[in-house]
Amino acid sequence: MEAYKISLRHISKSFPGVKALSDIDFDVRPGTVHVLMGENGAGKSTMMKIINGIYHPDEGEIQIDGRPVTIKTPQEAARLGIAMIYQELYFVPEFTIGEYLFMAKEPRRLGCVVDWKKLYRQARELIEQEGVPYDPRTKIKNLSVSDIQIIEIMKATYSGAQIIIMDEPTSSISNADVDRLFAKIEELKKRGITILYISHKLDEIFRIADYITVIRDGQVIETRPAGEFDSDTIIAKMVGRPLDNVYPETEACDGEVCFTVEDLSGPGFRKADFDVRRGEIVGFAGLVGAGRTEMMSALVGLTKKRSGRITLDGQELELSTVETAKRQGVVMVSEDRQRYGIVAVRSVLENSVLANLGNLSNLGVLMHHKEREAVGGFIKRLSIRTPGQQTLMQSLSGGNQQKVVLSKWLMTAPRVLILDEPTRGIDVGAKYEIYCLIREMARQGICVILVSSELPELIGMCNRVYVVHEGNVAGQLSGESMNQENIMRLATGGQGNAS
Amino acid sequence: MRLENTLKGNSVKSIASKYGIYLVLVLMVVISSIASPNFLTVSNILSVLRQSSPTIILAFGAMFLMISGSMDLSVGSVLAISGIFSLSVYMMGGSWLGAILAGIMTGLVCCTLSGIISAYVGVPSFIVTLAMDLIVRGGVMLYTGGMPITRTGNFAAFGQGFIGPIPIPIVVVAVIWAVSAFILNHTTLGRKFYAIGGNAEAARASGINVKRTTLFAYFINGIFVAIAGIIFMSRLNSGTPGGGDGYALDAIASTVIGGSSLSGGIGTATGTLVGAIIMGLISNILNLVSVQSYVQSIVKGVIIVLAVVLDISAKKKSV
Ligand SMILES: Nc1ncnc2c1ncn2[C@@H]1O[C@H](COP(=O)(O)OP(=O)(O)OP(=O)(O)O)[C@@H](O)[C@H]1O
Ligand SMILES: [Mg+2]
Repeated sequence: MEAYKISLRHISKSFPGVKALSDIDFDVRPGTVHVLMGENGAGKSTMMKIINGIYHPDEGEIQIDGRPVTIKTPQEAARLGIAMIYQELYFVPEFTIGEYLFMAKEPRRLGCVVDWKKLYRQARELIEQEGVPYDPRTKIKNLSVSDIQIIEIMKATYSGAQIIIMDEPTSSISNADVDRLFAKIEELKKRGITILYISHKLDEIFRIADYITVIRDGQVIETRPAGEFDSDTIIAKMVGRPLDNVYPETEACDGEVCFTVEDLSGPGFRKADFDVRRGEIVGFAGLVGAGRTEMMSALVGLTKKRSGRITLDGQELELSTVETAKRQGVVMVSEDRQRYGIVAVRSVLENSVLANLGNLSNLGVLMHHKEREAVGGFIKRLSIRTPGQQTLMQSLSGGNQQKVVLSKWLMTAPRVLILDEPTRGIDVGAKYEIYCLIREMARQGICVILVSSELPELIGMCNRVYVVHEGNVAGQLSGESMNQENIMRLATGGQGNAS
Repeated sequence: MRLENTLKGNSVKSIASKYGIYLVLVLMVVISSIASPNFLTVSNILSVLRQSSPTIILAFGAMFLMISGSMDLSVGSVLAISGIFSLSVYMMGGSWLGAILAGIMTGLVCCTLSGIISAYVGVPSFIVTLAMDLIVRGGVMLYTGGMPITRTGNFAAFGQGFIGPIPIPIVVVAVIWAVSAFILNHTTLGRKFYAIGGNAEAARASGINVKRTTLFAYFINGIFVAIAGIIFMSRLNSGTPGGGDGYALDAIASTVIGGSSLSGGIGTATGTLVGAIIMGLISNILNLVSVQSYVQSIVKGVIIVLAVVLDISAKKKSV
């Protein structure tokens, strides 16, 4: 019998209304990268949180190095050499990066007083060693999701843990950062460290996986060495049926130009000019931090623009607050789900209708049957996995939360729909459904702007792509010239053959 | 077999956290009736409710604020000034309508002012309302010269009167409970309160005017505080300038005991009612068994801490 670093035996876990895991048997060999795949809500995060002591199994046993252990808290898990990068970031807005990196293990003087000087010196060393451009005294709340994710990765990989769990660590970082993470993973593996890895990105898992386990509906479907799997078989096992298409058919768009942005400037971007035709899907490509999110935030009134003229159907728009932007039909699905997307302590229903209260009420009094109908429709359409409409948002899996945020904005019947990384954390099967919905919105004559870091997604979905480089619109691509090489060239500051 | 067990475990836990507060209420009634045979009589129950009606009403105001992520520490003084202005107007003209309107206007002005400074200027509500408390208490002392206003004529008719067999203050509490429940469960305003308290940034990004909504919470609170003030003064049949001292914390405590979350976004009208009644019962039973008032204060403090600790641990367990 082989020695396993970590094993789960007959693990089951129920939450009110759902059986998240049933009779899980799972073994991980030491010094390997073991990838978990499965649909949104399949139970991946729950399984990992059980190993990290956040949830406690209803039954079953965890073994580390063959010895049964009970793990009651993340602190106990840390003592057993387990560290975890969580899927949901943005924990402690008021902490500085330094404090965050050394949380609960600050260097102390005389065993009690925190030695701040030493802490910040060590933090700086760590950051320099890592080669990332942060000041350890910056507060977490001033960082973007991608920054937080990078800090989070640093924190886990330097913890000295023997088992590192990574729950969708690459959902919001740039390709360069992904490469750096993967190099780090190789290095950790050489030191004999075991890595549990969750991701929905098929292309990246084959770069690092030694073993892959597919789970579905809280059950282990299959575990095999990565070499014995290919994308299609994984998808088929995840979804329970083969998946024919990744993207819906592209449709040519010959509508007239209806949404124009001229000379838009603001924090993080300068003099942006672009337009969208009626029924067109226009992509925005660029490196993480290029200023796309800032640009879009100014369009919907989330941040203030400095200058710029925005017109829709020939009329100039006044977009100073989200409220006015929404009234004029310009809305955005934010990339930062935890900060701008969800109210975690309220129900799925309340979250879904939050941007649409006006249409679902009469003189300020809610029409509950209409709400339920609208929300029910989206739950079915996007196959949102939730025990009911009254379930709290915080008890949904990450991908399902994202689907609720999407339905919130789709429900408002916008005229201009801005989607900033809309498929973040969404499984391959559900992505197709969402792409179809976006297509359908465009077909109804809505102007769609799709900001994405996944080039295949942009190329597969968009009629045209604008590329943003360091706060400037560097060019636009369409048709044949809209390919990965050209997009990357423009995104990194090279000259493109603008069409 | 095993599955049944886990399901049972789950439901026991969730029932305990869902109905825990009602169990506490029942428990308190049982203990109280054992401790004092006079407790479980209709007249004592009615008198407890009437006595605690001002704090119950304050608790509803505190609930709206807490759900929206704010708090008001000035309600004790605002209660006093609204009650006294209302009484003064009544004594001038003898008109009920004028008196009630004057009281409500006073409460509205004070609380809306706090709301504007906190929501639009951005000063934390804790600080604004603490200052407001000092200012208003000073103002009411100046106005009355620190002396109670007596010879109030028929002003007591409101606080001491009955509709049928039921004291008017209890009817008012019932109405406020119903109105609060309606606002929270059936109006867009209620949804917005929950959203801005649960995650203000997400609410803003959904197109909700966070500042205006916050102001509405203060607005409702102002009306409730004034009503509590009128009942308070009218029931005592005197304008007591020191009245309502310490009520702000009682109101907040009742709200927390009733299940509202200090971090915002959570709370129900019925929970608040039960929480406030529990607070009232505590005072009553301590009085009935004649515990000294300093000791009462200590006991109340301990109970508040226990309630919050229970609240936190229940939330942790539910994960
Ligand atoms: N705290 C909780 N309370 C109630 N239900 C929960 C809780 N956490 C998870 N669940 C439920 O358990 C199931 C599994 O969720 P989990 O987060 O493990 O999914 P996942 O596989 O990580 O999905 P995703 O790819 O979307 O992140 C879901 O149905 C979810 O709604
Ligand atoms: Mg997950």
